[in-house]
Amino acid sequence: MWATDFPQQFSTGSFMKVTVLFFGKVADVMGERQRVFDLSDTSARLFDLRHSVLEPAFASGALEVQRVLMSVNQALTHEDRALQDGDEVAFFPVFSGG
Amino acid sequence: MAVVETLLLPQALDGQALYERFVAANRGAGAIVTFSGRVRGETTEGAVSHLWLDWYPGMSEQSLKDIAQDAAERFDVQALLVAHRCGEVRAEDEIVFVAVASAHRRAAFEAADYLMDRLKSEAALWKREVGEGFARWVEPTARDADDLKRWTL
Repeated sequence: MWATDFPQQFSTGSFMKVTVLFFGKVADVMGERQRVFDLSDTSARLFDLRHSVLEPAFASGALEVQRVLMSVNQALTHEDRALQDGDEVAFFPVFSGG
Repeated sequence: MAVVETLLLPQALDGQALYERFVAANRGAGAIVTFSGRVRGETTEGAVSHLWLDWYPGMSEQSLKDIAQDAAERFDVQALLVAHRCGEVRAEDEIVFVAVASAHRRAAFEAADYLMDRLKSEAALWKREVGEGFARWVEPTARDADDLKRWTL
């Protein structure tokens, strides 16, 4: 069902595979630590993926959008980041070490 | 350039052993400052049994390296060691150990202080406090944010 959540107008007809990891409270709320997505929209941005995956948790108040950070291939990034086939995406809360 | 070492440890952290090794490796230093952070046994919620520190293999280690490297470039120090736990850490156990060696005391004090302020808010780790009848994810406090700002002014 996830692939169909993305807009189709820029689709090339191919798919790209993205691995999504969850950490900390985000993993708790999602009830899992990893999920693989086949995205039908190969022009999808991180914003689109976050919306598709986390919107129910934002809507219910389980997570706050401004308290969830994102990384692509282990580097912190922003929601406008374009996704590529094979990317490792992660969603997690603000850090708390020390 | 300072010698920088970082460790992310899923098992016990022995600050005493790390201190002795650090001293042996920095015999010529005029100052060695260390900090040992421990899991408090009590919070406002009640008695804490343990913390769970979630981590992202690869990214978490890199965040420790980046913070330590920034400290090495910012302060006139000879060596830095940052050791941080991940996984389950029992109450009263060490969660973090920092050691800094320098020629004179000021740089070592400041570098250790800086390292801890950065680690609190920028180490890629997620802390969950677990006690009798409660469990909660911990996020940096306003105080932690103010501490971090001290180094950006």
